[in-house]
Amino acid sequence: MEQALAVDVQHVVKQFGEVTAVADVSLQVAPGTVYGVLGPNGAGKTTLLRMMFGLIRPDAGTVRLFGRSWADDGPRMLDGVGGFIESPRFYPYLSGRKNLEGLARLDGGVDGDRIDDVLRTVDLADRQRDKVGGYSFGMRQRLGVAASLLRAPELLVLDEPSNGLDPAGIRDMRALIGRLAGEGLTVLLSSHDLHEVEETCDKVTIMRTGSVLYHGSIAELRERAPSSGHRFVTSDDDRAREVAATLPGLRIARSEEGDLLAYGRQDEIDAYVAALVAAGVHLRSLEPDRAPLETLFFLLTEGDAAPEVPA
Amino acid sequence: MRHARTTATSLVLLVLATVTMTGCSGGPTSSTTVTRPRLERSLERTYANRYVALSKVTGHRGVTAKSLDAHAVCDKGGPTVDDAGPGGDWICQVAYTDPNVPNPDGSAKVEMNVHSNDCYTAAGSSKLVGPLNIVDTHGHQVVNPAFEFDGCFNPSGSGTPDGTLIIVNAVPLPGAPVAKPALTLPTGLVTPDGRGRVPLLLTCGDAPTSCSGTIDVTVQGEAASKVTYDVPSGGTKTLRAQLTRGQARDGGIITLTLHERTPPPAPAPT
Amino acid sequence: MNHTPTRRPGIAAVMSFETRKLLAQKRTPITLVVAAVIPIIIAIVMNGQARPPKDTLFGRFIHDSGWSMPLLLLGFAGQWLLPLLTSIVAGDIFASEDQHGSWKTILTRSTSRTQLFVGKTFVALGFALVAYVILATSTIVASVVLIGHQPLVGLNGQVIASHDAARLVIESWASVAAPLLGFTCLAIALSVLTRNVAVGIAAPVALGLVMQLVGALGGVELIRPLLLTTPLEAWHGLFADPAFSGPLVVGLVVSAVWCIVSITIAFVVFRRRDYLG
Ligand SMILES: Nc1ncnc2c1ncn2[C@@H]1O[C@H](COP(=O)(O)OP(=O)(O)OP(=O)(O)O)[C@@H](O)[C@H]1O
Ligand SMILES: [Mg+2]
Repeated sequence: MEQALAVDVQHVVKQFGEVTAVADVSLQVAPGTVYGVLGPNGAGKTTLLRMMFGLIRPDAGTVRLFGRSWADDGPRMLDGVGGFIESPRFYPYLSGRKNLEGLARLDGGVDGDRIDDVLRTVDLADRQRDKVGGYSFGMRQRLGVAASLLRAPELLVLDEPSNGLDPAGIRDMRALIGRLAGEGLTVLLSSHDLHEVEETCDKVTIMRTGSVLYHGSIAELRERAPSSGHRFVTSDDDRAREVAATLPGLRIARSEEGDLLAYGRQDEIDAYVAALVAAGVHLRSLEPDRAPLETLFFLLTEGDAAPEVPA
Repeated sequence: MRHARTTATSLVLLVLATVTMTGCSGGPTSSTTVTRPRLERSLERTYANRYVALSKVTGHRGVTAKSLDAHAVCDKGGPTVDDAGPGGDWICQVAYTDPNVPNPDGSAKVEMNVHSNDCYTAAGSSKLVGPLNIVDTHGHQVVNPAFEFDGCFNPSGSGTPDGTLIIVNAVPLPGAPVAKPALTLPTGLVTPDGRGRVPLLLTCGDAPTSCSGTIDVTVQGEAASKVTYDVPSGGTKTLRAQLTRGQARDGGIITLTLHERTPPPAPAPT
Repeated sequence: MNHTPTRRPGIAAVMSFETRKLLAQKRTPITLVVAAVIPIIIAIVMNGQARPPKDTLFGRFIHDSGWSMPLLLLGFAGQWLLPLLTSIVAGDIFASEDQHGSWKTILTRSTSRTQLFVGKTFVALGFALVAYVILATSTIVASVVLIGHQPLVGLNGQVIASHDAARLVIESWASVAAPLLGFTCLAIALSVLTRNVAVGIAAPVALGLVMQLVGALGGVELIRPLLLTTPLEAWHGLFADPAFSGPLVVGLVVSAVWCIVSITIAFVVFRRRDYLG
């Protein structure tokens, strides 16, 4: 028999009133993969992950983990699955260790050695007797990982695990995920940070406003990336925009700083510079903008359809 | 807001639960559990027990609940108010036998404050039981056990009246001339005959020739009959006052109001 | 892959964790200590009072028999003290997870929602019973030690021998266990529905007072037996002569209905709810 997919999400929909948080999303994760769900704020990543944990029910579609579904298996669906949603939460009046001991009970009991192990793994062994109320954000994040590992998971589902961590914390978190993946764990993580996904994941699903924009390997994504984006500083951005509209293939957006961003092949960029000069728009500065993959991500998630000026 | 909504939902559910339970109960239409018979049967026992305790304090021997044979009749708020339901306007008359303390009134007035939880606080008549603080046989000051006391009755106890009738003389209206009447009226417990008539033993005292006039008889404030009498001076006579069938069955407080026609006795010659 | 099958946790696991959480929060042990100490203070104060509190049943006999104080307390404080005693935990045990945002933490372990619900409910009921037994014991012992075990005057004016009074006092306190647990269920329901600790704790007490007030009104005789505060007074019948137990039986049924309705609503909502926190 073929081994069941670690994650099999089929046509899942979730609405909150008028807002469609997840619209017909499907994704499959094979065992042993490190899988990224990438998307900007509000893309529906957390909602999707909540449905995987059974915290919320999809309005339509199914979620299966190792072939088990909430409907058929109830909480057994989560056997061998660990992880957390958004920032992990604990009981502030209990110590880190007491929190883990309690959660271990809810897993049917885990021996003390295992708790020592996971605390050491996340580097919290020396603070385990302190109340969680006194933990820093990063320590809580690490305790969240420890609580997930306590379940000896085969599948680790992490929602923006590096969110709110300092650079060293981010580095440690990525190293930890890499190490766990190396041990054969399946990891599904969500992120709004392309670098994180690029660095840690084999495959990725890119989402925006509830829908899937891209499925596939990072390698494929890289091939699809446009050559480059360019940042233009001109004497008359409005005019420059009009000029761009006359050139097919060229895509224009506005950067966070308000600069004009142009995306296209190199020859298209060259043609645009020439057209600007011909139209009497003065070019003050021109520089390559982002790495190619980032450009693609930007195009996918914020390009055309996204409003140029944040409301 | 989300929160307000869930709170509202929960309150609605709560109200629904209450309403559902009310609906389920369906049952009795007679709303109150506080009824005259229940109150009367409870007060008889409680009064007797407290009176026995008082007799112990005052050193009167041989007084038992049995020897007292207490009977109570209650009325709420006078003739215009239904005799049912909680309130502080219940007035009861308790008739009992205690050879140690003669009672010309034939019964003791007890003021009751009845609560909706089927309990009551009763205040005895200090004319008969004495003041709040009394001195016991050892000379110690103690709280009078019959002055004020609490009780509770069974809300599903029998609601059937037992027909006790107690005669109480009408209190003269304030301001009315208080001439001592020549005719002495009966007081206390009476029993109607098979035809619903109660005997009234009338004694004519100091009158020139005879005592005559009429007596208005009411039960629980409702008119029962009018009796015309003519009793020779120094003599007695038993007349019968007709009650309605309901009055004879349910019992109640009989009030006798005297209208004397007898001229007042001539001033004694000096 | 060497997947060790996850061991199945039971309701006992949930109860054990919940109990540890309760004991780690200062409020819980403090409540138990207060339940033990308050009756002693009340007994001392009452005993020193020149005028007995006559407006509550048995209040007038406060100096005459140690058996009257536990009954006075039951009549005077039962309506709000008992709901408060239980809602401190029952009103908090679900809503505090919302407060700490920790539903996602415990709902992503191996316990089912049903197990979590039942475990938490049992712990809340258990705490209510423990706190109440402490309160009852302390009240009865304190008052008998301070005042004595003289005979008691019953609610038909009869004198009740001390050993009978002892039994009746214990039975009376036992009889309020049913409405107490009814209030526990109500607090759980409010805690689940509002997801708010303050509401979970305060609302049952407030509702208790409202119900007491409604019950004291005239003209509401049809709803009076259905109120959750009415069974708190059902013990009166034990002190009548002859004693009657009708209200105790009705009280038991009414408390059970309140509890079952509250718990069912809470359970259905809890099971179906989306946990977003
Ligand atoms: N409880 C809720 N009520 C209403 N709308 C919600 C709720 N939770 C999420 N949404 C909406 O669903 C959409 C997706 O939200 P979600 O939290 O899944 O996004 P995300 O990809 O995790 O974003 P982020 O990167 O900010 O964490 C958003 O538009 C959000 O406003
Ligand atoms: Mg999110």
